[in-house]
Amino acid sequence: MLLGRKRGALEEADLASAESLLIERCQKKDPAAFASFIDQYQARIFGFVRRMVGSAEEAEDITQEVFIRAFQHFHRFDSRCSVKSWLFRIAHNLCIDHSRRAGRLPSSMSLNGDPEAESELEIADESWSPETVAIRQELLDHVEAAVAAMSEKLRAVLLLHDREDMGYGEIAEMLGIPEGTVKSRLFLARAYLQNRLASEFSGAASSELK
Amino acid sequence: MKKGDTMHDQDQMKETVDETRLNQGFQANIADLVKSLDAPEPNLAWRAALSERINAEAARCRKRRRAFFAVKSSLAFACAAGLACFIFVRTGSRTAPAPIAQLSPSASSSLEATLVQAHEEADTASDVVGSGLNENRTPMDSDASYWGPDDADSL
Repeated sequence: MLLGRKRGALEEADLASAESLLIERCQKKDPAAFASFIDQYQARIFGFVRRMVGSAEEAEDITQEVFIRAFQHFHRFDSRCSVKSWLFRIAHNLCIDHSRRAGRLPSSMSLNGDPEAESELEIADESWSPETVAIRQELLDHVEAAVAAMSEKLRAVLLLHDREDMGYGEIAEMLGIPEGTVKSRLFLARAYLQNRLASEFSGAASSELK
Repeated sequence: MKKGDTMHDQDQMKETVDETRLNQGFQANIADLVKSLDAPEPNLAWRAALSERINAEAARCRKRRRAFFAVKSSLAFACAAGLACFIFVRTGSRTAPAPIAQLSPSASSSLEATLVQAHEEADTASDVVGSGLNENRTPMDSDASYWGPDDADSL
């Protein structure tokens, strides 16, 4: 057990030193070193941007811009935060710039009543029957649509926390808001999602009954 | 609901939301749902285009750095040359050769005496030996010393 923990710590130290070596090379504008960061984070950054801007083509352009800017300004990167959160910060800022340029105002979010008073959402158990898979896929499509309809502020916090596994403090630092605000936005985002899904699924059920 | 009302709601929520509420009930279910969303990936053409742009950017950076280095080194060279000139002018004016008038009288008289002695020795030598013929300058078979029949007629 102790040996395993020691080995884990050693592996972590190795990873950290490898990453710091890569950072050093990136700061000297080494494209090969930067390529390893691209490989590591391109899917996550693209996924985040894709959900923030809505269009896949725009997301591709913005994601490229994220990496180009990161490469250009790597000398400004300080090791106080991780490369991952630095890249996400650039991505978030570019998404905000993009929506400002597009003249899209953040949509306001409506909460009808106490979210906790609503019935809890039933999530299907992991099963591989075609029907369950189809239902789950439909549910995920609805979740995607609901996330897209959410205000940018809530969406960013929801995606960063629930999809990218970032901590409250990390998100707060990245977005320049207090930790309490991160928590409240996350709560509101999930509540909005739950309300929307509940209303859509109850609407679908009632239309089927009719 | 207006935007202002939404912000008011958010302010109220700040006070009430704590971590335990975020990790239980429907909040945890929604978090699981969001986590299980598909992860869209950019295609290979996108990746190739990005690599191309990164390489171009790296080349531009290298060129800029090289130009900066050239400017910096030429500037440093110019500064060094200027400094060297300045030092040379300053030290040159301090160690200029003293004028002849300032030479000591003893040094001047000894030079004069040496010159006079050398002249007298050369004079004595020419009196004793004679100037003679210099074979190298007036070779015996040169045109000037040859007497042909034409020369006899001209006499």
